[in-house]
Amino acid sequence: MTLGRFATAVGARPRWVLNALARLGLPRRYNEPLARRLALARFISEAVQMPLPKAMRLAERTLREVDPQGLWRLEGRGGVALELDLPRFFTTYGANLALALNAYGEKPRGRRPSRRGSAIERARTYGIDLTLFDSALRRTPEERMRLLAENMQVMRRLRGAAR
Amino acid sequence: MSLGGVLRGLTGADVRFVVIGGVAGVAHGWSRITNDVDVCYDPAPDNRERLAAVLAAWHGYLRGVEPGLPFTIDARTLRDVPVLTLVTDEGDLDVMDRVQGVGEYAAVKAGSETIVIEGVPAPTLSLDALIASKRATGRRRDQQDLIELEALREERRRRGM
Repeated sequence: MTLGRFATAVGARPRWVLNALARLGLPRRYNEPLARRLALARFISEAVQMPLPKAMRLAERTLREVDPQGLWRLEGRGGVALELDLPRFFTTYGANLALALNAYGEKPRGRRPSRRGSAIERARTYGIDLTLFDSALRRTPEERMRLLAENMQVMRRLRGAAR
Repeated sequence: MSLGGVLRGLTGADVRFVVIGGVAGVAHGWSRITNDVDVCYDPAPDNRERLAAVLAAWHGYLRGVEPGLPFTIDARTLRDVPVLTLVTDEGDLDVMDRVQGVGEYAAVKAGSETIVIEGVPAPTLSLDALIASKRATGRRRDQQDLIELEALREERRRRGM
């Protein structure tokens, strides 16, 4: 996992992740179990204004000992109680993790493609096969969508067969 | 399990949505192979409730995430998480309440046109709006898409489409 992907899974900005790992004395090894712990620590820390190191210890204990399907209640001193809705936490965390895995894209590095010339010329220079436009544009939108739907079915069958 | 199934299910449940992403591009003539359907939905509470009910009925789960993680699809989840990438009984489906570079649902709807997809008239993001969204995301993998879509727009104009 890259830092950007990891931060998306945690639900934080990359800068926050770097600061948090430095504060917790953790190496920059971006993996899913750490993302889960850090996301829960952040959730606890922000919910009850708890210092991050303490929230991290609590998060680690919670993930180790508590049924993720239930509510978790921690009685503190002076009648203070912390109640965590773990299914709700996992729902948000899982959604962020899925986003990191499926939709996150790194920012481009280096020189951007030239904007000189017409869009068609730029595409040709980039190496795009423009003959595909011709076959697609000769069809009506309905025909294109029918073809796409058929292709999707084929891909789904192939994916199912590969499992 | 089909593209038409997704759209019929959403339309049948009176969900207000716009088809975006690769499917919208293909509708305009983009030669793209895509395996998921992306939709932008109206985040009004009633619409969120209806969409959540449809996604729950399709057993929506987080795409690529280990099975068994607690996951609740309801209106609150849609409110808390602006983008959901799901695998459902009807196929892979991404739902979001805004499109980067275009705006929130009202702007997305304004930048859409109705196209019949598998017999279902569906609001579909226009090519101009699709290009604006690709430009705004600025991801490495969107660079080639942007070049292709801009060329497609020019070719469509040249043909008077």
